[in-house]
Amino acid sequence: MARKAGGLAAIMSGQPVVVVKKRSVFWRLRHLTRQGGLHVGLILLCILYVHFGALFFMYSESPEEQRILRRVEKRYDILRETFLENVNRVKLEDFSDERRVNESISRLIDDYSKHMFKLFTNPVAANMFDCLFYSQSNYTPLWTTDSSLLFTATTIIPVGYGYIAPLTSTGRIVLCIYAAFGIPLALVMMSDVGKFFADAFVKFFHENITAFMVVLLILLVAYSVIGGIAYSKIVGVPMIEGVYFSTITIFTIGFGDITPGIPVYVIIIFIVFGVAIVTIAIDVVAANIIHHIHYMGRQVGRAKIIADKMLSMAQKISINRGLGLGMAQLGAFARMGMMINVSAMGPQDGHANGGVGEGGIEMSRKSTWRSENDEIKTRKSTAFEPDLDFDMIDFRQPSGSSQYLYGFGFDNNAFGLADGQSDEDSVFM
Amino acid sequence: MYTHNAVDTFDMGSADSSLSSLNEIPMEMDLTSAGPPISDDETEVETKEKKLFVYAKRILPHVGLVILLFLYLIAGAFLFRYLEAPKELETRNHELTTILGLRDEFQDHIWNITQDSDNRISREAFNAINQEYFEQLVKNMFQAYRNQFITAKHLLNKTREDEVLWTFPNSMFFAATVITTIGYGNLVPITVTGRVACIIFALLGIPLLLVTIADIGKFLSEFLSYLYRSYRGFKRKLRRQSKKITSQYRSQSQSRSSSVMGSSKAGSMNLHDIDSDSEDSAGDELRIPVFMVLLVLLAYTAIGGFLFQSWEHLEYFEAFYFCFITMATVGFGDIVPNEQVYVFFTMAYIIFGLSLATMCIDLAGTEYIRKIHYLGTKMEDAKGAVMTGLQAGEHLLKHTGIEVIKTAGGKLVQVRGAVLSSKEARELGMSYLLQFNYQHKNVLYEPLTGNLAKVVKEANIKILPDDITEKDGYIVQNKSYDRPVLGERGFVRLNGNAIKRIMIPLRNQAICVPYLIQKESDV
Repeated sequence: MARKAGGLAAIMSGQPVVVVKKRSVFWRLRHLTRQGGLHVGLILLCILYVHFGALFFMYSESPEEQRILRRVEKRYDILRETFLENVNRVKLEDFSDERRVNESISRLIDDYSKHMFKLFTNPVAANMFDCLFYSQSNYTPLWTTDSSLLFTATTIIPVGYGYIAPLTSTGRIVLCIYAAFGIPLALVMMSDVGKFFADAFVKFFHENITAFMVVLLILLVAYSVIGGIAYSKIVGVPMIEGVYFSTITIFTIGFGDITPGIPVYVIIIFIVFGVAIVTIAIDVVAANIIHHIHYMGRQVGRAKIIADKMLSMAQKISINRGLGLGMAQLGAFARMGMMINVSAMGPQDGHANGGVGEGGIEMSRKSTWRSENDEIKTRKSTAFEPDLDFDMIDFRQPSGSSQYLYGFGFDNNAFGLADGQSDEDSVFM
Repeated sequence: MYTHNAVDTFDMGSADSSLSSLNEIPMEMDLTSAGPPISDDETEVETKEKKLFVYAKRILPHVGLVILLFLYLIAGAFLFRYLEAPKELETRNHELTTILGLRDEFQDHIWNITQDSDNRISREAFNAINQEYFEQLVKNMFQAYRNQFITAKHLLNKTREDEVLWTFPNSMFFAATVITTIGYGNLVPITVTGRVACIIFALLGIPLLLVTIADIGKFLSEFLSYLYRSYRGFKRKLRRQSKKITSQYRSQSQSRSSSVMGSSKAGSMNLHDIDSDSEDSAGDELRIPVFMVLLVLLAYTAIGGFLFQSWEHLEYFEAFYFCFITMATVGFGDIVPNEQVYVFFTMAYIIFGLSLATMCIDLAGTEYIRKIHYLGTKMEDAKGAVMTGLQAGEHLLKHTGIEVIKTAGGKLVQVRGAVLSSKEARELGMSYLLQFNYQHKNVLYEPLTGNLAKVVKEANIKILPDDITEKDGYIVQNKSYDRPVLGERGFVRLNGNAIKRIMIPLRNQAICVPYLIQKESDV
């Protein structure tokens, strides 16, 4: 209450209270740490979430993978032995008729093919044959540390290559819960980081929305192409394949048809920054388009209500990624809304002018030393008074009169006490 | 010369004000009769035909957007089918030829061994040769399996010759999963041309789909907000009743003090009520709870589980798992829909589900992201306040001519490089004279209008002295110290301006605030 009264007195007397405080370097560092701590903490939380998820899925899915591997190997051996035995039997039984021999072998191979294709549908079996025929090496598990890390990162971003996926019911249930919490966390983190870049761009381009959009699109295409070229040079594939892989990745499509041959952390960093750029670009460009389309059919009437709705809608506009409205968008919508609002406030200006004029005239009658010329000047000076808020006029008029009556003719100290000011800065000299 | 300039400036200001006042009177009538804001911005039309025309004009952009999306998907389906089907046939024939060649070779091998009765081959050698053929066969079959063009049916000669994997429903489903960024990966382009087309298709299609689902989501958002607002109508009525009582009390006190301002009071109250109602509506929309949002998403996924359980003959949890991975646009591809008949229903489910997710993020998520992003900003010192204040100041300058922002540290920071000249000030409606040689004459201090206050609030800047602390920046405007009329005489005069800004003049004929001079010297 006292604070409020002081504030009111300060408003009436036109003296804002200014408290200047000397700050030490230690204080500045502490505040800087506290300021950045939230955002850095968010990034660290994402990193920990990804790593713990990777550990969980690796330890949850590896035993199942081992069991399936043993079963598949046994079945493969059984199929092979059966095939060889059957071939021997065909050789011993039907040695005299070529047509019968060919028919028997064809039937044998058909049955065998059917079983093999059914076996191929199992991801563990596919991986086993992959290692057997293409890598010429021993079996490499599906769920290694690197593959688990890539799996959890691309789950919450959400690229979803599908190189590996959980097979057990427990793994799938945990994955649903993990993604339900992880995807919003990742989106919030990337939106938070992206908003800093968006704010920097806004300052750099002085809120030129068109230039901002053009630069964002160029940056998006350049990032995709440069990433593709780098990938093709590292792995040794054609450039179009590299650009294809990087584009499919940063748009979070993630077919999984091309297996990356570069370290997992490099891919994850590439994905994070790429998806952040994509979300910023889509947010800035599409927000304009959707604003125009959504309100195209509405009539532009009742300017003040439209302006308020525009401001509230501008605060809420978001695209699929949930990225909040950037400062540039807020500036654009606010300018549009305020221009309409300023034109709508015209009648209020008329009322304000009338009120102030009448007040001036009433006050001028109390003065006995005013001459004709002074009266004319006073009237003109009050006629074009700039925009005044109704609330302030209504609220301050009687108090102002009272203060004037008390303050007239008194010295400085009494005037200060009447205002209720206790600060040294507010005392008149 | 000085007096002449003053008179000219005053006359021009009066003329502008009078003209604007005359022009804005009809708008005032419209505003005062508006009443509380309604969710639909319709206005009355004379005839039914005009009403239908207005409805059609309003709906057309949204329906056109959905139709455009559908046509884009169809065009994409034709494109990918045209590009990829020939390559698929070629690859499949090549692989089939290889596998069948291996089979024939194996048959010849067995027959030759059988017919050669003179030179009996040992059992171990025979098994070794058979095992080599066996591994070759497995390798080629696995390679064919990886390329996804050959299934067991092809090897068993149970399919027609021209049947391809890139059928029209499959191509359309592939196009849909590209632009929704799900990307199952069960069907991928192999040719270079197909991959380039996929990149371009995604670059153009993803924004189109995002705009469409955001547009649909916004309609859902408005519908849900309307329901929520109706649910809270009772509280608003109570609030309005209490507001009326307060207004009546203020009206009585005001009329007791001075009756000449009655009409302006009424207008002010009406506008204030409109502002308050608008703010209440916005607050209601933003405060839909997160629990409701999650419940909507979970219910939609559960319903999808039932649908796909019946369409794709999956177990319920597998169907739910598939719907969840799809709604999150992760799309592993370990479970994919196979029934051609239900491809279009699947696409409709996906697009509507993404619109629903966009609606939920729009209602609940944006506010939290904004709060998290700007939470750290409040802890900044004067440097941070300058940055946020500059943004708000640049907005304010375009409307009120404010040029200077006073920071929490007490420094006056110039928003623009150049000081407004008298011409620019006149265009902006600020028609002050430059009697004093102060560089910063337009420093705003008074509270702003509603919309300006919103911008100031968004930029985390405060304008009332009792809200200001040493950690905040604020905008100061002291209109009195540069008024020549006051400076011309050495005593307090009886006019409206003096009542708002009671100052005792100094003896050197200059009216100014000493602390302001001290702070300005720091700039």
